[in-house]
Amino acid sequence: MIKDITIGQYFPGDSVIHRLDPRVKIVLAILYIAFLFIIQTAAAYLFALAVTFILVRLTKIPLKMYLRGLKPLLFILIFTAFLNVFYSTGEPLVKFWIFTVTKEGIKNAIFMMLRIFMLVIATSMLTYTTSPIVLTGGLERLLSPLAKIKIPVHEFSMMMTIALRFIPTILEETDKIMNAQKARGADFETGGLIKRAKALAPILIPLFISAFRRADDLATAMECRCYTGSGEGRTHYVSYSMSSADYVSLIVLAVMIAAAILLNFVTVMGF
Amino acid sequence: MDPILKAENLTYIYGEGTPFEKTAINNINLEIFSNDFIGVIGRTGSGKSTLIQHFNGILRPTSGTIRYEGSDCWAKGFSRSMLRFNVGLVFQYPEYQLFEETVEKDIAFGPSNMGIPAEEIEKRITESLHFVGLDDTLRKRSPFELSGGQKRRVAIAGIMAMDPKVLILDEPTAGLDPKGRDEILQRISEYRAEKKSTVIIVSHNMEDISRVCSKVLVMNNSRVEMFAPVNEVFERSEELCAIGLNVPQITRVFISLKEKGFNVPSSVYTPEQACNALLNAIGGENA
Ligand SMILES: Nc1ncnc2c1ncn2[C@@H]1O[C@H](COP(=O)(O)OP(=O)(O)OP(=O)(O)O)[C@@H](O)[C@H]1O
Ligand SMILES: [Mg+2]
Repeated sequence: MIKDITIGQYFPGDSVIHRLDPRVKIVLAILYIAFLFIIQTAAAYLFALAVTFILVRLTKIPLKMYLRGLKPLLFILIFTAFLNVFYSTGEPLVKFWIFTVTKEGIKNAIFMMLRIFMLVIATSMLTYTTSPIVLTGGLERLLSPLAKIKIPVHEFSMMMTIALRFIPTILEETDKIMNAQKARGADFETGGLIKRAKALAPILIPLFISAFRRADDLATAMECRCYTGSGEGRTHYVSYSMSSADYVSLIVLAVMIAAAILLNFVTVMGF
Repeated sequence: MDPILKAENLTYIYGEGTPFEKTAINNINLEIFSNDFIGVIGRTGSGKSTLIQHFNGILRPTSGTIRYEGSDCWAKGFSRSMLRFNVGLVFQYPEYQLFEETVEKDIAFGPSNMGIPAEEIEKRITESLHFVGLDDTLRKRSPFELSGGQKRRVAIAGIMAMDPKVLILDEPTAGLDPKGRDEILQRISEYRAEKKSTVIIVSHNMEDISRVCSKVLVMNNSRVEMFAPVNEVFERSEELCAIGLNVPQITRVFISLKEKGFNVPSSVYTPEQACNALLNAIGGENA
């Protein structure tokens, strides 16, 4: 179902992670991704898995929700694992026909899957625990130095805020329109490619019409409130300030990266 | 007589297993018979739209069963497309689902999905335009050029053209002016009288329901609070008020009259009944 798409979804809550400064959270997420690319050995992977699991627990959002975000990526996961198993060079384990399974292949496949898995969890964690408005607000603040060299940071962040804000609305609307057309006997599940593509018209046309109408209404509403983009002296309603939890989490991550680099030198049974 | 639609312990939960879990309807049991004219009423969020989306197999119950003419709609081998052709559902604000270039093509969408031959579709378009009270000259117009009320009628015609045995309308009068509201209700009653079909109308408006329906289904907090003929439901006006619903103005007048000691019934809900009741009361005192 269309509701299974969880990208950009936000689960309101009051956990430690929820309360972090969005700027810090964005930086942490980027560092964490870097951290995932640094790790090389089994020991380091175990460490990263443990850290990821602890973070998931800290958000107080069930692990099930994170795993749902992985569902659409299942195919890519399996495909990369498959490529890795058969196309790595190294010490051959089994051989049949044109395929050779190597020890390195299996290792790479497992590591690659774990890496994508943790990558998805980390990015989901950012959007699950930060509301879209706060997220883009944080991003805008982080990028604000770029405004000095005439990059329209504010406009971009406003566009992103609006886009993120409307993803759930549009998904909901798609669901509604699909149901309404199903009630008129529309069939989206059977038939060849062309038939299915044609079957989309009854959904897409009303969807676009309502999206344009919404955009129009929103533009009018913004103009009525005198929005003119990033004019002189425009201030923010919310200002962020770093708390001790923010500093602590930055330090913890720095320590973790150092630990991961060290663990890269520890090998367990040749992994 | 067997019921045409039957709900047994019907429960539906939105977003099951997520933090947004919400039980929209809870353990609903009811029977709807052929040729019933049912008004569904309840406060916002009481589960009306969720309930009716089970009647044509759009939503799959979380637990419980829904039966159409006795057979379980989610059993293996049950044809849900057949169900959707027999139980026509007009969604809330249906004007937003129009998509074709012309009014007639849009109305033809349902019937052509059913595989009905072209001449027959042609006939049904004419007939359903007539039922909803739209002029035949609008046929070739784009639905997007019509007024809101006209669009609504085109959308309703699109379902009527499928000639369903059961016609369900989710708030067909929402956002229309009083005259438009009366006319749509009038048209729906005429349609029912002519087609001998079963009609279910969801509405927030007691007067609407009291005017046309024969039975009222009152929903409250995801449950069925009452399901009885109109006069029986309005007799329980105190309970209705307690769950935040209103009874028609006329009924309220008669309840006050009764409280003041006049010998009148408290289940009056149409002007004719009111007239008779008043004449009786006056006649009674004179005699
Ligand atoms: N798609 C959905 N996802 C999650 N929850 C929903 C969804 N649709 C409805 N709900 C919830 O289910 C409950 C019942 O909704 P429903 O639409 O059936 O109410 P309703 O009686 O039709 O209300 P209204 O009179 O406003 O149309 C509400 O609390 C609503 O928030
Ligand atoms: Mg509703």
